[in-house]
This record gives sequence, C-alpha cells and structure tokens, in this order.
Amino acid sequence: MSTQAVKGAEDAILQWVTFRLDNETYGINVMQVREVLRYTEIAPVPGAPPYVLGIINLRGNVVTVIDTRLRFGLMSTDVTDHTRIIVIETENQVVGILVDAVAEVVYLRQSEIESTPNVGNEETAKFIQGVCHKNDELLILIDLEKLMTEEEWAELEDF
Amino acid sequence: MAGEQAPKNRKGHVKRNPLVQSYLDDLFLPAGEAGKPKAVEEAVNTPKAPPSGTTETAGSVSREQQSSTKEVTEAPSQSPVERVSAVTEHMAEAAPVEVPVATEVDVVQAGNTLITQTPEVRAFPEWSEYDFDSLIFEAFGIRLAAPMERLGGIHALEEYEKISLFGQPDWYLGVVSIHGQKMKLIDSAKLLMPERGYKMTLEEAKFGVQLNKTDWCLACHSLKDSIMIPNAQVQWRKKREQRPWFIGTLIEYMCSLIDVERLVEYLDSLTPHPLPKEPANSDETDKGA
Repeated sequence: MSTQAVKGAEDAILQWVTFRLDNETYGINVMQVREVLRYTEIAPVPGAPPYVLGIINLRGNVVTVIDTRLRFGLMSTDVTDHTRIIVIETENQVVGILVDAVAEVVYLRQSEIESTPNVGNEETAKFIQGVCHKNDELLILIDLEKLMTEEEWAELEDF
Repeated sequence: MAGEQAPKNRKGHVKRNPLVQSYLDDLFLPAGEAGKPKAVEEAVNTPKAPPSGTTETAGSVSREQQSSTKEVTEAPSQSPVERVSAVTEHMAEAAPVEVPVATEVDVVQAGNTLITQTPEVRAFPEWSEYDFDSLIFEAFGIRLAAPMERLGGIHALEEYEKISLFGQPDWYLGVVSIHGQKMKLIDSAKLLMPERGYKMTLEEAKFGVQLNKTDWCLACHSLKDSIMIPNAQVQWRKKREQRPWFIGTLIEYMCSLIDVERLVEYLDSLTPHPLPKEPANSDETDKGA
C-alpha cells in the first residue's frame, strides 16, 4: 500500500485544456488559462510584429492577441464560429492566443506524458512540452512560457 | 498694473508710506529675493566662508541676479536664514518638475543649483494629463485617434483638387490645395502601420486630418467620432523609444492614439529636403482630378 501511495503521489494528475489548430490537437495547462472567449474584433497595433494580431478589450483591460497559427508555422485561415481566443496567464503577463476551436479539458497523469520526439521544425518544436496518446489521438502539450522568447514577451508589454 | 508699479518703487520715484512701500517692495522683488527677512541681509554682511557649491554661476545670469541668489545661499545657519534656505532649496527641487524647459527666470527663482541644467522635454504632452477631446478616424478599417486640440483642421478632400507627385515615398499621396495652403497628404495606414500592407490611392482619400498648424495632413477613408476621452480610459505606453508618435490606446474604442507633435517631428525627419512648392505640371500628374 505504501509503495502504491508513494507512486500515486509522484504521478500527479494534471488538467489540460485542449484546442485544435489545423487538424492537430494541442493542450495547455489549465492553471494558465484564465478564460476562453468567442472571437471578437481584434484591433491592429502600430509596429506590431507579425505574430501579434492586435489587441482586444477584455472588460476594460487591453489584451494582446497572438496569431498562434503563424507562431506554429501553419497557414492562416478564416475565422469561423468555432474560433476562440484563449486568454492565458504566463509568468510575465496576460495574452490571448487565437485558436481554431477549443475542445475539452482532459486529465492526464504525469506518467502518461511522453517526451517530445525529435522531428519537425526546430522552431516550433521548442514550444512542445511533451505528447500524449489519448482516445487514439495524439495530444501535443504546449509549454506556454517558451511560446516566445524573453525579448518577445517584453515587446508585448509595450502595446 | 502691479507690474507697472514695481520699477517705480524700486527706483524710488513714488513716495509712499514706509510700511506700504516695504510690502510692495517685497512683492516686486525677484522671486529669489522675495520674502527675504532683513535678518538675512544683516547676516550676509557678517564675514563667513561661503558654503561649497555657491561660487559657480552661469554667465547668462546678470550680476544683480547672482548677488541676490548669493545673499540667500551664503547666509549663516541661523533660524530665519535656515527657513529661507529651506525655501530656496525646495524651489530648486520643485522647479524642474513643474516647468518643462528651464529658462533664465527659472534659474533665478531656483537659485544657483539650476543653472547648469539642460532644457527638459516632457515624456508626455500636457493634454495627456487631463480628459481630452479626441477625433477617431479610419483608414482600411484601422482606427486611429488624435487629440482635437492638436489638430489644425479636418478637411473633406473631395472638395479640393489633389495632385500626386512622382518620386516621393510610398506613404506620400500628394498635394492638396486647401484655402490656398498646399497640404501634404499622407497615407495614414502606409505610414503608421506599414506591416499591414495597405496602400491608399489619392482617389480613396476622403478626409484629411491636418496635424497642428503644419502642412501635414493624414488621409483617411472616414471620420468615426469626436468624443471626450477620460484620461483613465487610455492605456498609455510606458516605453516610447520606438514609434514615439504612438502614445497609447483608447481602451473603449480599441484604437491607437497619436501624439501629434511627435508624429510631425517624425514626418519632418523623413523629409530632409522640402517638397516642391509648386507641382511641375498639374495636368499630367493629377490622378485625383
């Protein structure tokens, strides 16, 4: 019993919010998600880098929205009824990420998460924290802190 | 009126009751001397080594002004003198905060310590400290705002002849003659948000927003609103090293607020050579007519 209890304590269960981008399912730690919004008008910002779509007014606060598709090296697509803005809170600030759709919240044991296979674009691979097979589907877990460099996070504060 | 009496009093042209005279003298003395008790003058006359930092005086300050500041700063540390010194030091600290550019008068008021200061430039313009009227206009769906008090005019461009010029930057649409003044028409979206890839044509320019009293005019597709913006409803930019003309965001309207002075400076910096005053041949170059 004691060995199993120790194992259970070590193998923590984490909740992940999953979203879809171009036929792939991604997950982000639920603790970093503030809220999920329907698509709303995104106002452009002068001099913003390409991966910044613009800003939105979130109850009187200005939130910068990131073009997640562009960041992940995917082609841009039209906004649909399923398009969502996930407002996330990183160590530095609050930003929105534009995704094709939000799917569900899944529970994953730490032991279920596999390390990232060394394939694909090096640029986008650095965002990937790990992968997990869930319901016959590959779930790609994102490390939001690595979504941008420190300089890029700092640049976002200036909008 | 009071200003006219002061010299007369100081020169002794008008004879008055000594009490009134003393009161008026106090009023009209330079600020560095104002309110100085007689004890100070007496104390100055007693020989004492001057405190460090009071010997250097800028050449621009007159001899009379120098002596007046010296009288105060060199006074021995007796109670009335301490009070005066404290006031002088306080003024020296307060002046640069309240006054954006240090003038000679400011130097005299503040004492010797201010003389070596260079002129200061406000990080934010004065209008940004209060609620302000703002014009919101739009080009290619991009909404921009500018404080009304910094605009020289808003012109419906369809009423005027527009002339395009060759060999100009892509953000420069052309010239429009408004009430005899030749305004330089700017493609707002191209200049302010080139990363968006929009390009306005001279025909598309419906309105011109004149920047201050300059001949720079921001072209736009439509005017959206003119509204009073509470100061707290703006997210002011903390760092403005890049795009200093972009001063903040109107939170409710989600549009970029323009610092007109900085934008004019930016435009002037982009055009080291003045544009030709008269277009070479208006018939050939006029695409908008």
